[in-house]
Amino acid sequence: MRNYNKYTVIVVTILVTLIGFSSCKDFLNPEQEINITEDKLYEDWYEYRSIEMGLYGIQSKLVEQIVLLGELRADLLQITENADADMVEIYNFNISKENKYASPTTFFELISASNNFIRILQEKQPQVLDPESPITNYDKLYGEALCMRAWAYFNAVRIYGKVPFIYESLTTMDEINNFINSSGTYIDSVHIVFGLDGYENDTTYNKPIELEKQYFDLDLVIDHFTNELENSVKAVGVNHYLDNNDQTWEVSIWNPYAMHTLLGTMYLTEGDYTQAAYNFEKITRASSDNYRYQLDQSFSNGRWRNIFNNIDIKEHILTMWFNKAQFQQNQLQSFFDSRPPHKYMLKPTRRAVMFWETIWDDYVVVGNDSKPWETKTVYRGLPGDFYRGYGVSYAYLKNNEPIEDEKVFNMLWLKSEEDYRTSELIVEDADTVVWKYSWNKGVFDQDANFPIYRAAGVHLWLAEVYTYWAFEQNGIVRPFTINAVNIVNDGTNYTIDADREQMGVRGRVGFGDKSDGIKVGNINYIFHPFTNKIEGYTDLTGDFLGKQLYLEEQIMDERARELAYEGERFNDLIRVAKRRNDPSYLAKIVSSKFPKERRDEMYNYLLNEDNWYVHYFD
Amino acid sequence: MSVHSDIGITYNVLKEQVFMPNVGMELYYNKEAINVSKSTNNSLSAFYNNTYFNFNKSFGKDHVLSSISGVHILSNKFELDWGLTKNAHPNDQYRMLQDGANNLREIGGANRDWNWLSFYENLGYSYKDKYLLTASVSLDGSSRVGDNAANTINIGAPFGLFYAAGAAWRISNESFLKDKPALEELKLRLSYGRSGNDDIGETSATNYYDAIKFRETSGLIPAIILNDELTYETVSTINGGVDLALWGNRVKTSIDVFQSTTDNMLIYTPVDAYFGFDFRPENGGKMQNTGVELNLFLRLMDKSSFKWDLQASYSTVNNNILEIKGDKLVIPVRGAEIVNMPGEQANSFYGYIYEGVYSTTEEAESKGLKNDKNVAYKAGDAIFTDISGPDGTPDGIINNFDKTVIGSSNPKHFGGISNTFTYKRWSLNAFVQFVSGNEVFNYVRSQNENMVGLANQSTKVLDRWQYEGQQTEIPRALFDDLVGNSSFSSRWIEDGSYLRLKNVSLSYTIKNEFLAFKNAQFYFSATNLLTVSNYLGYDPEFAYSQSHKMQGIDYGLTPQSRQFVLGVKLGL
Repeated sequence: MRNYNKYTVIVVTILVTLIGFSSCKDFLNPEQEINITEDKLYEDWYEYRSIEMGLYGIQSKLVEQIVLLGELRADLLQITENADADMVEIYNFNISKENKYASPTTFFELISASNNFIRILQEKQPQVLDPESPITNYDKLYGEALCMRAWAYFNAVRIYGKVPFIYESLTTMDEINNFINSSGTYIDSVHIVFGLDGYENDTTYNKPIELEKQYFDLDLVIDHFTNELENSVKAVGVNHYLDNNDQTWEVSIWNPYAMHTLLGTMYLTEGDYTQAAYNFEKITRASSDNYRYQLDQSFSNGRWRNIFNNIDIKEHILTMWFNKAQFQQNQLQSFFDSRPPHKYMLKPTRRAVMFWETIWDDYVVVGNDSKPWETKTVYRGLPGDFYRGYGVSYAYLKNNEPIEDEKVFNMLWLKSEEDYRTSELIVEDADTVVWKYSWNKGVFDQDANFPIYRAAGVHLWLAEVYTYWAFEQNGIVRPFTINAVNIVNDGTNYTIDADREQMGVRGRVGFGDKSDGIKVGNINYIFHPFTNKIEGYTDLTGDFLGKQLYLEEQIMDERARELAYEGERFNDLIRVAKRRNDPSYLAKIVSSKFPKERRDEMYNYLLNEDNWYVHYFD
Repeated sequence: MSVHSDIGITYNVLKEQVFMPNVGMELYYNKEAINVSKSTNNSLSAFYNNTYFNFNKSFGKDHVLSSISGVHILSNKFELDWGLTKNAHPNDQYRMLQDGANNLREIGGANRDWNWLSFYENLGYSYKDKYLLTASVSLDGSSRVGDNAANTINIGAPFGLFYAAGAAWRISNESFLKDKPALEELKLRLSYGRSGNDDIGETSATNYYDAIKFRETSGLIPAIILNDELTYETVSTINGGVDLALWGNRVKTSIDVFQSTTDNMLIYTPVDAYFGFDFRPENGGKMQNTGVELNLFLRLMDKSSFKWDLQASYSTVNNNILEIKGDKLVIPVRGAEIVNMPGEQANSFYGYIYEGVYSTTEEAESKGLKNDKNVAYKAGDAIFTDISGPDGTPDGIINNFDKTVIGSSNPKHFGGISNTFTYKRWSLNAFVQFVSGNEVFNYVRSQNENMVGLANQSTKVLDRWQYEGQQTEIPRALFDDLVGNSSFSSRWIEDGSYLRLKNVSLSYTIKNEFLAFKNAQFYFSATNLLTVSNYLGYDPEFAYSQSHKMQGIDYGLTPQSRQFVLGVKLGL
């Protein structure tokens, strides 16, 4: 009997154990509490929203790459001796596949997360595919994901020259590999048609989707995504207002203005000025919130710097939000700042500093364009762009403090008096530092916001469009160059609202008047950078193309002053070089930052357009 | 026949509180923190049950059959939570998590659940105690492998099939050796087995999302590219051995020769950038260990009052990576890089070859090498070997192409000798151990000789290069070392071989009653008395971590102390 008791205990133990682990399958698939598995997601709106927030989280990881690849290869930024080996590679256009700043992985992390979200929205919220159905928040999420994907592809292709195009129906690693490695057309045979009233009514057809190209170049990316954004986006930009007074949410996610800016840049890059202007004007002429994106005194003069302090719906169109208190930081400050513990790895070039230091306020020129050789500067004005340049975009740091504005002004004044020796004493031993992401920041903050699109940039793009845009009216070709000049100088291109004075990109910071705005005429004078004396002139009488080129150069210089270190400079140079069909435009500007003995080598290297791209996918 | 059931329940909690003070210390966390407090809470609850039927039966005089059939279940729940704050009051008296600055708090954690289930059968058969056969088979299910795990049998969930078989021949029991009285035992053994290791991480094969911060909220992003075919690492081992005992077990020896092959090793394979990830977990490596193990016991003297025993063991193992997906896997660790590549030992050190210092400007110029930032080396800089370049030939630039295997922490030979004299109640024992053929990365020395900042350095840096023409092995001092002279290279790799007199002990044993106690032993023991080694660090015998890739890296543990112990053991 005792034996039987023993057996009973054992058998009961075994049974209890087995009941406890009711089935093998469940036992061997325990819930991982910390991990959210896909089958448990997408049950309510908030989970969808979390996936959307995830996309922006990935996008924020791209800031450093965008700045390094967009600026360090261009004319405004150079390395210091503290730069790491990967930065040196970028600076020298000699980028290896292992380069941590040049890897396309994060772009594709964003693309694959967007693809995943797009596919899931199509499956679970099929109304997003129906243009006729009433707009819901899911449609807006869908629009944001489409914009995000288009933005990621457009940026990636501008860096890498060509990029693999991963269609959202390709989900497994094998499918993607087969697609990339197939020659010619790849047929993705799974095609699911989703019922509009829920995905339970799905029908799976064996209808192949033909994916024609494995790699997209710039033209294909622009064709594909302009088409997709124009035809598939029903709405964009969910109204989050987590905090009802916080309007910054609107411009830290994709919104209709940001989408039009993206479309505008794609069309501008492609050279379709009509479409570019149409999209940019959606911003520049937007009448809501009292013409919110026209440039007025909100950020004029000493207030310009506040663009980098706060997010505001009057300037910011799409801005990546960072905040140390919420554990979202970027490395920009640590790349640029020279105060410990930062490393001072990158610094402004002399050319960049010259853009801000050799601009003159309210100078007076007396003369006659019919006798240009007699024209003289009678009052040289005041040197330096102290609203956008010194103290904001860059600074001279001595003992970890920026040198005061007055001292720097004195330095420029002494230079204009041709007392170079005394002027140099003022900045002797100072580090020239990119200050945009350190201004108003403590050394440990490292959380400057990063504007992707802002109003001044769009106005300058529109000016670029107007420089070349012309149409025929009653047999007369009507150019828009005057509009371009007006946008840049004082904003008179736009209808002026009594409540909101238009100031223009330069006018906003005091350089837009008749006396100091940009001028494009038959005679264009060349001024000495330090004394502002007239040194010569170019005669463009009757040379309309010459005037366009001259204006384009002025706009590009203005972009440098207004948008330095915001990541677009190299793309700007490529765009202009391609428009002019003249690689030497870029080669000359970029090679000028190299030491004398390397300039010729770099110039010749950059004459080859192929060298403008990071050849990651070759 | 009998039934056994073992049940185990484990609840293990480890709480740690660390406080890094302000007073007398450097700043922490990139100089942002004056003091730091950290709390960690680890808990592991596990349940285990092994139930089996044991069956033994003899058939006639010569046949014996035994069988064990059972089920083995393991269930583990692991939870880790940690919190960290910085900048509490500078006087260091407030050390709890709530005392730090609000915006410098960090929290984190991990939960991991892991279940395992195995059905197994072990069979044994012997004939006349001369021919011995064993066979075993098991069907293992694990929550860690993927839903479509490769090489598994799907019965509701994927199960791996593993097995082993062995045969032994006790020759000494054969009739033709019966008349050799000196021969106690002579046995030949041969076995082969294939086992599975599911130690591939709890979530490597799950399609899950990670949290990422965005603004005041948090978002979710796909955490991995799913590999639902992720499966067990398998280890196949073939082992042959001989056991020999002579003269009433006064001489006993065994020799084993083995080769084990680990296949489907879990590695993080680099994947193409267009997948949006740099790596994904895959079964993508193959490694082989081939070795010989020798054990010897000799009773050299066997008088009633005096005995002299000598015991020795020796092993030699040859480790070799046979295949690795993506042809090379470089893993960064603090201060170094570790590589796994075919033809090399697992987790080898990977860096530059250090040849010395350029003594003159002329020498540096004639060599014409540049560092990875394209800056030419000058007099006083380190000379690294220019092995290769992007096109496979030396290119004059010292960068990733010039890194190579510069050592391995796996010892080639190791073993020990133990010698015991016993005289009446006295016993004197000495134990010597040795390891040879392994290399050590002396991280401590690399920090004490790198001359990159204001931290204290060893006196060795007095020999640093200081003037044109100086012949020395130590490069010039450079703040922040922008040139890279102190990069991970063979300069920091040392021979880790050593021979150590690990223990000497003298004891006096009273086997029967001593005062009120059953028995007693008085002893004097000394450990770590003598070490013969060329290693420049404190101690060549250390283990910073269990992880194989961290072996042989001396991050500066407290060295093993030399101990003298005088003691009494009393039997109750």
